[in-house]
Amino acid sequence: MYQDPGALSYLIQLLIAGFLATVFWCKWVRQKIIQFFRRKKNQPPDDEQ
Amino acid sequence: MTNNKFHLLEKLGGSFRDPSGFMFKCQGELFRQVNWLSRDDYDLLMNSGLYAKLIDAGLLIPHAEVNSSYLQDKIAYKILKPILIPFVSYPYEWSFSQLKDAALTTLKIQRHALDYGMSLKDASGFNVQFWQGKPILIDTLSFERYRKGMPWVAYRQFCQFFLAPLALISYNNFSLSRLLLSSIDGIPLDLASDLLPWRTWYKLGIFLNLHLPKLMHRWLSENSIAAYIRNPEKRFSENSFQGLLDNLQGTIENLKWSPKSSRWSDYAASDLHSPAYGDHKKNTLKKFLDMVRPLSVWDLGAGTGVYSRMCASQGIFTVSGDADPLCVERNYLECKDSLEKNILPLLIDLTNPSPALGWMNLERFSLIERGPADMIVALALVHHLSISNNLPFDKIAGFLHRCSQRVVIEFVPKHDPQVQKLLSCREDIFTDYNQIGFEREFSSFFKIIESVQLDDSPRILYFMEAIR
Repeated sequence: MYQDPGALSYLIQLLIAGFLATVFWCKWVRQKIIQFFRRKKNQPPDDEQ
Repeated sequence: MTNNKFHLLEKLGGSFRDPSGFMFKCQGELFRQVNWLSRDDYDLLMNSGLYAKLIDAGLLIPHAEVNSSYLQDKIAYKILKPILIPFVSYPYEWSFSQLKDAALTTLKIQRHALDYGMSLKDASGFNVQFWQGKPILIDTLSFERYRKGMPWVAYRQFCQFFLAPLALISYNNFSLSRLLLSSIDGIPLDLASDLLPWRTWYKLGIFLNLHLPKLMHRWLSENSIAAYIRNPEKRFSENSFQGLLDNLQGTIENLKWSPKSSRWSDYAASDLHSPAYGDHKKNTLKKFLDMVRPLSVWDLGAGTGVYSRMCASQGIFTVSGDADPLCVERNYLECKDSLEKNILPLLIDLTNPSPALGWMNLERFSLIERGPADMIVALALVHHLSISNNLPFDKIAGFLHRCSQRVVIEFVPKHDPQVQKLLSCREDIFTDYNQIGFEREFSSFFKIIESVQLDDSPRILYFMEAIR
């Protein structure tokens, strides 16, 4: 039974997609930052090289 | 079969809203006409591999293409003969878990459709039926070609039919699912938002999909929204679509409804009756079933389905109806765990059964219109209808007569402890409530084939056949 979706339905989906993409991007950035600091912590200090 | 077979077709009253096609009956058989308008979508469904995938996964009702060379209708492209569902049920008759499983099935189908370049153009609860114990999509014409970048056209319908009633049951009260009866297009989202408690504003999925639309509607007019969405097809990627489906799936999976008990949910397990009574009742029912060998049984007042399981074990398709939502829920969960294929648990209140709905009351059938059943089983029921609901015996007999030609019914006399319990808080105005009165009134509609006094109980089990 096909129902007219309405413009609001499209707007909500775009907002949800944008929100989820933002959350995903923030998680990705956070993961990269954690990986960077872990690598730096595991690197030996300069005077031991 | 004449060359003009299909000119005798009778369109189903409720099948008119979709220009892609419609259901019709011809010489007692059910068919679906696919119109030329949806030729491309139908061919894509069949040739892309999506149809085969969905059939393998048990998610879409199988069909066979019928020789349509007899067609008189110029707009008809193909005629399909789908597998017949033994009993059509509606979302307002389902338990919480049935509605949840139907919702998750719809999302699963949408995911598969995307993999094959298609999408569901509608997500109505009426497109899903229970077949062999599982939810299945019955509307083969629900699929359209996926247009890259376009949001999901069926999103709002999905939220109205599935997310809103599930959230209302989970966070509020099961009775709110009955709003689906008065809203044939699904529960309006602003109404659902108003009825949900404040704590749901902190649940991300509920906020985004139910409360946010109401806020946007309040802040923005439809024209300004349309102005924002000038080219929706350029903004909604397939990844966004998958993200939306993930969000909906996660939200629905997190919804729970598990009350500890209800008035009737523990009735079967209670030790009100002796084992001898229970065994004799089961054996007598089995004997009556063997006499008739019905193809279908309606077990009315089934509780958690103890006797329905007995009928189903004989290979009989059984509609297991009860007015207690928790009983229906437990019945369905037990059927699901045991992979039971022959039982359909449904919410049926006999004092107010589902009416006919929709345009000219032809789109959704009433309970009686979906009969008759081969046999009705009404165990430990008649005293509740008579005493608790003031229904005289002739009314009960008339109703059962409309539903089936054969009835197995248990008469519970007034001196039975259960009846005494019902009368303990009210005046006994039921002067005709006795075995003589019961047999007299039922004899106007049925012939008593056999009656059996049950062991260790004053109750009597009757097997009756209609006389007219």
